[in-house]
Amino acid sequence: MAAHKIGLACWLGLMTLLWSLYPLLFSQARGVIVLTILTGGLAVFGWVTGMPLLVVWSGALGLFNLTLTLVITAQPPNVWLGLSAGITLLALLDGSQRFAYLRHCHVEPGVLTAWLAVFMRIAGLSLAAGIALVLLVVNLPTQGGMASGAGVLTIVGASLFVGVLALLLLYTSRWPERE
Amino acid sequence: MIMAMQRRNSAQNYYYFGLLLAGVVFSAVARRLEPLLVVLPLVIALLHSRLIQDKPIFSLRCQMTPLRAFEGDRVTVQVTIRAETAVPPMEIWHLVPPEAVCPGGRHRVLLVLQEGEERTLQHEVIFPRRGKYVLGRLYSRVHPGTDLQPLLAEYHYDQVCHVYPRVVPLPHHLPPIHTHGSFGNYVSRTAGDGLEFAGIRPYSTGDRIRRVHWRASLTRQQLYVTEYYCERNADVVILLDTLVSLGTLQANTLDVAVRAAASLAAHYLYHKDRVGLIHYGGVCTWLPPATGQLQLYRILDALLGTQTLFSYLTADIARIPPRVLPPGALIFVITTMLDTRIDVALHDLLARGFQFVLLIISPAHVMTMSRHQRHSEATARLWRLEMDLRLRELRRSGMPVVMQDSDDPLAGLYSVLSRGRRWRRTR
Repeated sequence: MAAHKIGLACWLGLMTLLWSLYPLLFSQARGVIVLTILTGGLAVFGWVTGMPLLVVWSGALGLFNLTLTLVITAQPPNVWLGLSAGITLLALLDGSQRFAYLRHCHVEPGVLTAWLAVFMRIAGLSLAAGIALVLLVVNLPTQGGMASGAGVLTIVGASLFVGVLALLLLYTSRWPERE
Repeated sequence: MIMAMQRRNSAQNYYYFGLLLAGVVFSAVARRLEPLLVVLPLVIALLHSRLIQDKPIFSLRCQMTPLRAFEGDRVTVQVTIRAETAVPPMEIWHLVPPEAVCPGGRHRVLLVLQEGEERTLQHEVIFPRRGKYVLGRLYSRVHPGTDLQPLLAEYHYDQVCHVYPRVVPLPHHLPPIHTHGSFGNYVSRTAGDGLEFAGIRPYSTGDRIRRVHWRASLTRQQLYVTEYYCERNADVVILLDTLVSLGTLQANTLDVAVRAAASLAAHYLYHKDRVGLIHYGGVCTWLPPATGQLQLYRILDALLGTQTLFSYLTADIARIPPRVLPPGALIFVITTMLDTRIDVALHDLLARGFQFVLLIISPAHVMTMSRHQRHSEATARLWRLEMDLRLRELRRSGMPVVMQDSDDPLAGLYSVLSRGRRWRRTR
């Protein structure tokens, strides 16, 4: 049991470190370093104290930092970078929730395996979806359309995507019926 | 019992969706694909939680033993879960009252079950303080896939657990002055009905045939009968001052007094005396003296709900009926002496010639410790001096006065009991 807790704590620590160090791979700008340290510190403090809001805040800050770094360094689009950062972010958020359970509950054998299976399934699906998205986005401008048309299409597509997802979440959240 | 479950959104949903929006905005503003890819796993997790809608079916039973315990005893709780279908990671939480302690911390368990599997979870609960506690309230939270939409259920196997005050065995016995003819542990000097052998004497008219001592009669060719000593018992009344209680919820003078009362009641009932209880508050409540195990549980049940109730009334001890406060009864007065209304009762009892022992619970012991050890010691010493001054008259009349200032509710009483003396009557 103690080994499980230590293992999960190490895993979360590694994820936090990875998440905060991503931007440093591309830029050594002072603002990026300060944001990186802030992100890492907030994330560590959030999962140690069991405050998910802090973890999410550090996630948003890290996302902003990563975007900023990529804009500053003018790197070519990198699908693996984005996906690995995304899976790290998911591991950090999901892991902090699991860690809260581990701190308060006695864990019977088989639980961690079940959790890991779900995480692997979502990571695999994310990889597939990411590759499909990149293929779509990369091939879209080569279809001969105008650049401004592609840009408008992207924005409309993103808005539609977010809107449909919001509606789905809203619809599926109205389920508190007693069965 | 097949349970009804309710699906609820966890707070993570809003966090995930917020990050998703941020990623899309950053992606659009920076014209980079990576921010969108970063939040893509969160989108997949959100969709996964909505599309996986398996509802596990399982039944649950809960048993508690024993339902009557004393402070510090362990109550065992057994939760049995039987899965009809495979159950994904599920949290079972037995809600324990805030006063209780769960030594192993196993009242919250995370487990997975295979189809048809049955598992029994066991944990122990310790109640450090007397009271009636409801056990058997269980909560389950099933996590199908991610934690975003757990299935929640609540079960009520409510059973009331009576936790009685701790009973401390007394090493010595303080015999009362006045006894009366009944079954009991005190042996009279006169012959009569009883169990203790007194001797044999020649048969006289009216003696019962079953008392004939056949061996002696055959030897002497004359009827002899066996004589026994009379058995006697006494009335013991415990007067518990519920006017004031000092201290915290965990340690207070009233709890110490209640433990002392329970210990005295158990001790004298074991010796077959008749024991009664009087709660001396603004209004008196009482239990008339009686013997036996049933009376012990009556007293313990009465002590279970003992609490201080604020009142301006002064209870008149003279109004307590003689069947509750029988003449000649040995009275144990357990008090803090912090409310002066108890002085009236003590002087009344003294004037009526009752044999009584005054057990004073020191508030200095249960009060939260001062930052400086010397301050608390000085406070305790001052309190003791003040009490000595107030109790001078009672001590002069020969009444044993005991100051209790330790965890053991009757520690100070041992010296009085071990002397085994019968103090002089007041009149």
